Amino acid sequence: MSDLPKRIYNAFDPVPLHKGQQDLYINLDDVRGHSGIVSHLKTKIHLANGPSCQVLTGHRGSGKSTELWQLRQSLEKIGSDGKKYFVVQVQAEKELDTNDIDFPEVLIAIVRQIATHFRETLGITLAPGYFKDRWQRLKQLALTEFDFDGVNLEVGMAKLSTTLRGSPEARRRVRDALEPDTGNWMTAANEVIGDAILKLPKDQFSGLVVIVDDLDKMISRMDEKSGCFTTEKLFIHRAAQLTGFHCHVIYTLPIELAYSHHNASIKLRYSGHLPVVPMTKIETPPPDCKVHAPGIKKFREMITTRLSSVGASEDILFHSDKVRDDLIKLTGGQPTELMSQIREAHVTGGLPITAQGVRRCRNELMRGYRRQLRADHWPLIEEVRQTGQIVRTDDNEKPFRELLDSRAILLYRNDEEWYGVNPAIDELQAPAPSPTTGS
Amino acid sequence: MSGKPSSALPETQLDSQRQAADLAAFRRMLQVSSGTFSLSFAVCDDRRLRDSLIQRFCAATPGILVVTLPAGVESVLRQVESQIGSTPPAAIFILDIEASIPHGSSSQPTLRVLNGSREHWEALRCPIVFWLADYAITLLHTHAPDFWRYRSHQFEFIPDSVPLAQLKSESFSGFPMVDALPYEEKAFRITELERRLREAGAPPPPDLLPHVLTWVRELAHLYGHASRYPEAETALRSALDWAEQAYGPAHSQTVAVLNDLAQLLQATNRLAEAEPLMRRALAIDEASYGPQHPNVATHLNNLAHLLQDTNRLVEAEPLMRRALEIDEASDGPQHPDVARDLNNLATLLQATNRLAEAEPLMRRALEIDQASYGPQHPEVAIRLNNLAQLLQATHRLVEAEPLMRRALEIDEASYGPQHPRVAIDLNNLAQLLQATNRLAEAEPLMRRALEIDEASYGPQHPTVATRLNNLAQLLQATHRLAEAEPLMRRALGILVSSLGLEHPNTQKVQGNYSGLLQDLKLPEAEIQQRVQAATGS
Repeated sequence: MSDLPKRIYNAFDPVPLHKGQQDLYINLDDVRGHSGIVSHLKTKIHLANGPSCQVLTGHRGSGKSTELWQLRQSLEKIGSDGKKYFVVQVQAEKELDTNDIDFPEVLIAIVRQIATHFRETLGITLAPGYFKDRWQRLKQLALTEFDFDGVNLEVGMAKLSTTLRGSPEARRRVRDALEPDTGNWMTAANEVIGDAILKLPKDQFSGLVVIVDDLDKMISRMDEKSGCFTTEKLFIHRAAQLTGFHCHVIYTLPIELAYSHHNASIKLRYSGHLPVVPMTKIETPPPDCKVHAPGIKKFREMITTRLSSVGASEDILFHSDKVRDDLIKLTGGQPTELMSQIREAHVTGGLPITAQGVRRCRNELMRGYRRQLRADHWPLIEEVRQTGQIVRTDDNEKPFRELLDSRAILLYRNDEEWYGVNPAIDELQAPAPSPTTGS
Repeated sequence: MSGKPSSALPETQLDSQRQAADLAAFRRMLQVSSGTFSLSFAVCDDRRLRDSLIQRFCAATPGILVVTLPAGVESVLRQVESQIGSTPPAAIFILDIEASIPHGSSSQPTLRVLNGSREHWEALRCPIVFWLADYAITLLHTHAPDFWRYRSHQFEFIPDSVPLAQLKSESFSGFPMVDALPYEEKAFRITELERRLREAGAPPPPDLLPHVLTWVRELAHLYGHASRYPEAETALRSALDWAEQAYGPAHSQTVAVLNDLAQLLQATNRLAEAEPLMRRALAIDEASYGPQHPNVATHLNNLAHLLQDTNRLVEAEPLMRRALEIDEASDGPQHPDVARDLNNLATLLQATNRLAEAEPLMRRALEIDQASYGPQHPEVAIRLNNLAQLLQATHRLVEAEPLMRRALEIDEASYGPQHPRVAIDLNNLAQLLQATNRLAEAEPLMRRALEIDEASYGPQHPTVATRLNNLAQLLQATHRLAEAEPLMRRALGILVSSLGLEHPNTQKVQGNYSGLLQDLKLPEAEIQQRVQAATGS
């Protein structure tokens, strides 16, 4: 048997693009409303009079990681001055427990990755500086879980991060110990960063950029101690710390937080700008919802590029062009969703994917949303269906954030910002008897 | 968009492209709503930007009434009404409600009253604009929900450049990680920082500048430990130049360097030079953050300390009281900053011999810190120490002793037995024992304090001189004059070379030294000769 189905399956891996996949990259800029995110982020770093701190947001699966990867490629390219940037990437999902993230873990992950990258890429070992005293202090505070006496920054940070991931109890104790000491940890981190920048070969590098990806995937929970959501606690209350690293830093931010009433504070605290990776425009804004051909075309391009990378053609994957376009429409313009749904249909119904396969995908997604959606979500969904906009009130803040977070409504940005209902719930209606709006 | 709005608003920090829409909308609102009631909120965290915007709006639209609310205002409406003259205003701008709605306080009386006053505002028949900091919006939204919902418009004005540190400025004075290093490591650290600064170049590239500023501040602090004051001054002055050129005079990093320079001048007794720098730092942060910001309280505190050093206690007291008020209003009465302010004020009262007034303040400071840090924290040790000193001044030595012993225990546990803080505790306890005539118990403590400080500051530091002086006096009290003489002589030599002849401490030790020589029953000519030899004059 040919292993083509397997190769096709692997070609539609929904994880963001990585090294060696540059030729799979499809620029979606003109169907995302010409936001020019990569060039915007890069220009800010170029023009900044010193360290900059920026955030980037977007739905899960909108292509943030791919855009950041693209940014990294572009920063690592030697520019007209003969220099490039030294880019350190921190993948929050791998380094941290997304269920429970607070500032100390972010700091530790950043320092650890800087140390690792310097050793691996440049063969430079960074000294722990003041972290030595910090570790000592943690040990003194009877944190038996953390035992480290050495002077190796990388190893020390790795041990600490293992301790933090170890158990919620260990995490709580380390955090309690760190809390009154945050200023010193910050100083110790900047001490390492300063040393690192100084040690970068000046003829090759024009600066240090840290990209913290996947931080938007942190799970937002109510934090009992502070009485606010964990995402708010990290990005708003800890903003002074997050923006306090003395090198260029980019974080990804949860979209529900970006579109909450904190929007202005976020802009204020993070370089005055909040770039969004919107969904690709597949349909025109509600209520018309007509097919937007250029968007469909880009998604088709994404499919054919991946197919040809494994030597397959479109007719092997899809029964007909209509099936293909229906599946594209079902994604609502989410690139990651396109990959996932192709895999899903491939696995459940075999190749080529038929109308029935797409139907099954739709039903599956619909079932998921039917379980999630509550009565107070429906007035908002209806509003989006009819107008493509949501009039924000103080009462709809919570359901609005939930809908964005679960991608039941999707954000688009073409000329103007508008919302669309996820095509997967197109056929769902508010449960009868239809509830009247609460207020 | 064209560059039109930016030409209308030159030299502000406004990001014209992004803000154009809000600016245009604001102007439209003023026109459309003139003569009728409307309620708007303009969010702007940057006070300079806010003030320049208001100035421009007022210039473009005559008859705008600007009401700056005083702190702790009860009814905003009444305050506004009282300022309306005979002609109705074109619009009313209301500023500084922040001073009446402390962040972190759960009861918000001003907002409650505001919430209830909703309907009465309509009678004003003109556009009402509240200019607010971002945090205030959240409070308003929570504590005055009806009033908030009543709004017709909301505007956001965000400056282009956001200062790096939005919150309280960090300070290196007493930077614990540096202080905790042993002397040899400090010397090593100095070499390391000097090397880095050389490599970074002068002026340093923008990427390195924030690091260079931190390094210079740390280096200056370390130079201070090694009594290398002129080098510290040179380093801080060039850092100040670089920061001013790159970030401007009002940036938080610039102010931090300025503040360190002032502290250094104060430490070397150049009080007249330090004062204008401190006043400059105060004025800058008052303009950037408003008169009610905790940063301002910190500057007031520093300035008051300086005035206290120059014996201008009457001038210092109101500054300290203002700092206390600010911190109480912005952080609530239980915040560690409030404890710091109470402590400083109490120390000042103690210096003016108002001991009875000082004691309750010190006790309150101790309570706050115990509640916020727990009973085993070094901050608590400082409070215990100060209270013990006060009790000692009122001759309640028996009450003072256990407090001092507890402070010593805490510091030994938190910093280890070789830390300069421990030396201070040992010294204080020894002096108390000396006052109760337990001289034999006091001596080993004083010797240990001297050892610690020699190890941590090196043999030529003014602190070491203080320890030598105290030990010599103790020996003098036990009639071991011959042992005391070389110690006192060394103390005087250190002070002359580090602080100079004119410094009050030098003068005091010089007096102590000649007193000791007199006790030794030396002839007058011999005494004069020895003092001259010790002072090098």
